[in-house]
Formats: sequence, structure tokens, C-alpha cells
Amino acid sequence: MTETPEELMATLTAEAAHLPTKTLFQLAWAGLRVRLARSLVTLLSVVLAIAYLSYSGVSNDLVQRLAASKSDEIYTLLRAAGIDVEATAKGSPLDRWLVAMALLTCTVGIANAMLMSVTERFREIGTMKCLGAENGTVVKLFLIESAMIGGAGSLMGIVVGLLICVIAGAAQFGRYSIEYLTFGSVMTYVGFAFVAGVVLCLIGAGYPALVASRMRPVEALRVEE
Amino acid sequence: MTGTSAEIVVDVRDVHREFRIGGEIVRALQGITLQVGRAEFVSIMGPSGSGKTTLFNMIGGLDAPTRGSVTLLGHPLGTLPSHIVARLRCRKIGYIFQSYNLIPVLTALDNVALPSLLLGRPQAEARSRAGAQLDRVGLGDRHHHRPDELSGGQQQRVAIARAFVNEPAIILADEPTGNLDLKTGEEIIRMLSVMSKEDNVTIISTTHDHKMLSVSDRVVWVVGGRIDRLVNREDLKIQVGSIT
Repeated sequence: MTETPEELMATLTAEAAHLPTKTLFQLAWAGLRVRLARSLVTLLSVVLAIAYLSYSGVSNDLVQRLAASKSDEIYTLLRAAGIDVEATAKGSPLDRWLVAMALLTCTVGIANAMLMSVTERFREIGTMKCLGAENGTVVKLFLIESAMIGGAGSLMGIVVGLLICVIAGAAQFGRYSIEYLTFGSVMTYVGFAFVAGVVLCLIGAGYPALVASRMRPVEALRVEE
Repeated sequence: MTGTSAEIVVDVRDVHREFRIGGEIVRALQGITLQVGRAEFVSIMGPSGSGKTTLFNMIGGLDAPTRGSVTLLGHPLGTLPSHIVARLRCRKIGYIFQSYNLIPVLTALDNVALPSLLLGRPQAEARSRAGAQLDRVGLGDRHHHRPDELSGGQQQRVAIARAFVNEPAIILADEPTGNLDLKTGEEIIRMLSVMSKEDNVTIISTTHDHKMLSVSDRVVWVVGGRIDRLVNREDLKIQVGSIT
């Protein structure tokens, strides 16, 4: 039953003290649910940013395709909608500025929410480190939590963005808006928006996760309720 | 058991610990030497600020000495990288805290399973081990309750189950009865004592609680960062007897 120090060291070097992904997800999900109100506000900021990103991407694409149609009828519609085809092709500076601001706000929002989550969970993180959780496990926990917000928020944002795009397109260009949208290009913009949403959330959570993992368990246990 | 014990589990040698607080150097520990054998029950007593918590943290590898060495199961902690110390803690040390420190969002069963999962055991095995330990501490009907649905005594029993789940060599208990009433505290102490003998586990506990002394093999009094007195069980009984 009793192992020698050498045997013990061999076991310790061989094994990895990592929580299975399922447990990490369970913990992250529970963490989001407990702070429901704040999670929803954070989620909303991601939804808005990604909705705007996917809307502007897909609608610009539509305008380009319509402009390339060489049809007089479509040109009339474009002019009626007050769209400057040349300017849209370059992408207006205001649009780019607004998209960048929306994405920045969402990243800062995520960073802020995660930092608060880390501060509130000092004791919990310290306990897990006492039980033997390695720094990597703690980092993963917070990254998964924010990736969940990022993933869910991006999906919802894409749905919202596309809906607005389709409704506005139908109002301005009627059936052409559907005819000229190709599945492939929509998926490209949608995919880009999804990846951007998740990546921005991971960037926002990076620093808070690092703060959490570097915390020494003794300090965590000293924090009184 | 003491002194003649075949296997030394914890070996603390001439440990000093200095903290720099503001411009001042505070000497929390000033040369502590202590050996603890397998299955021994050692209580560390001392007034607050005596350095007993610092000593306790040193033994768990949560804090490093300024000078001197702490050796656990033949491994000097100072020479090991931090992730190996974390794994050593996970596999060989169980923790019990004054304020229970259960993960609030997990059920009793998942809390107890956590250290096993950290060791990389499969979910099913971790849960069945956790269930067995919960049954052992008398919480067979509370597997799926969350900490906020349990009383203080029950939460501490969940914490005991969690501490024992990985079959550790050492259990470190920090004021385990500090937040409990007299009767519940007694139950917890008795439970700790019985389980440690059954599992051949060493228990090191900081305490203010005199009830703890009756189950201790040795009591270490720490005052001003030094060991003031070290009393064995036999002598302790006489002392307690003479008081009452």
C-alpha cells in the first residue's frame, strides 16, 4: 500500500491533473447561471455587436451583387434607396468605425464581466487550487465560460443580423434581395462574424483568466465572506 | 506511535518564514522543527498571530519557507515545480477548512467527486467513490443537495468526504470546528478521528477547540513563531484530568 518516494514521483510526473471537459463545462455553465443578470447583459452586448457585424457584411455584399447586375430596374431601386454604389464598394469609413466600436465595446464588456466573476470567486478558485487544480485548469475554466457567452451571443447575433438584412432588403429591393444573395457568400460573412465573436470573447477573458490562475491559494483562503 | 513511528510523513526542519509588510519584516516562523508519523493525529494550538496558520500552509505546500525545508512523503517541497506540488496535494493531501469551502454551484456528490476528477479518474468512478464517502459520513440521502441546502455540520461532513475521497496520506484541517456549535463540533471531531484510524491517514489540525485535544496523539503549542510545548497523548490526559 505504501509507495516509495520514487514510485510516488513517477506517478506525479506521469499523470495530468486536468478536469474532464464535461466537468469544466458544467462548472462554467453553473457560473453563468448563478450570475444570470450579468451574464445576460454581457450576452446582449455580444449579440448586438455580432448582429451589426453580420448585417453590415451581408448587406454590403448584396449591394455589390445588385450593382454588378447591369439591370436598369435594379439601378433604379438602388438609386431610390439612396445607395452610392461606389462608396459602398470601398466600405464607408463611418460603417467601419461603427463596427469597430461595437466589437470593442463587446470585448471590454466581456473583460469586465469576467474580472468581476474572478473577484467574486476568489474563495472558490483558491479552494480548487488547494484541492490540486493546476493553473491551466483555472485558465480553461474561465475561457470556456466566456467562449460559451461568445458562442451563444454570436449565434443569436447572426440570426438577428440576417433577419434585419432580409427584412430591409425585401423592403428596398423586393424579390431581388433574395435572388442576388448567394448561400456561399452569406455563409462566409456569417462564419467570419461567428469566429470574430468567439475570438473577441476569448481575448476579453484572457487577462481575467490569467489573474485567476496566478492567484496563490493562501491569499484566496484569507478572503473572508 | 510518536518518535518510534516507522514512517515519517511530514518532516519540517528549522523552518523560518518572514513577511515584509510595509517597510517592516515580520518573522512569522522562527525555526520550527516537527516530524509527524503515519496515522498520527496532531493538533496545532496557539493564539492568533502565533504563526500556526503559516506553519499549516507550509505543510500543505501553499507557502514556501524563507529558510529551512518541508518534506512530504520523502519529497522536499522546495525542490519541486509548482505543478508537481499541485498534483502531490491532489493525490496525497486532503483539505478541511473552517468555512467548509464547498463549491456553491455543485451538488454534494459533485463536490466530493471533484478531487477525483482532478486526478483524471473517469466520471463514473469519481462519482461512485464520492457516493461511497458521502454514505460513510452519514449523508447517503443528501447526494444531490447543494451546499446552501445543507446545515453547517452537514457541509463540513461533505468537506470531510471530499478530503478522504482520494485516499490521501495526510489530511490538513484548518479550525474544522470553528464555525460549528458544541455538539456538531464533537461529532465532526469523532468522525475525523475514526475515519483517520480506519484509513491509516495522518491528521494535522489547527484548532482553538479543547475538545480536539482528547482525540489528538500529540498537541503542538506554537507561540511567537516557535514551538512552545509539545505534549504527547499520555501526558495530555493527566493534564486535562488535573484541570477538570
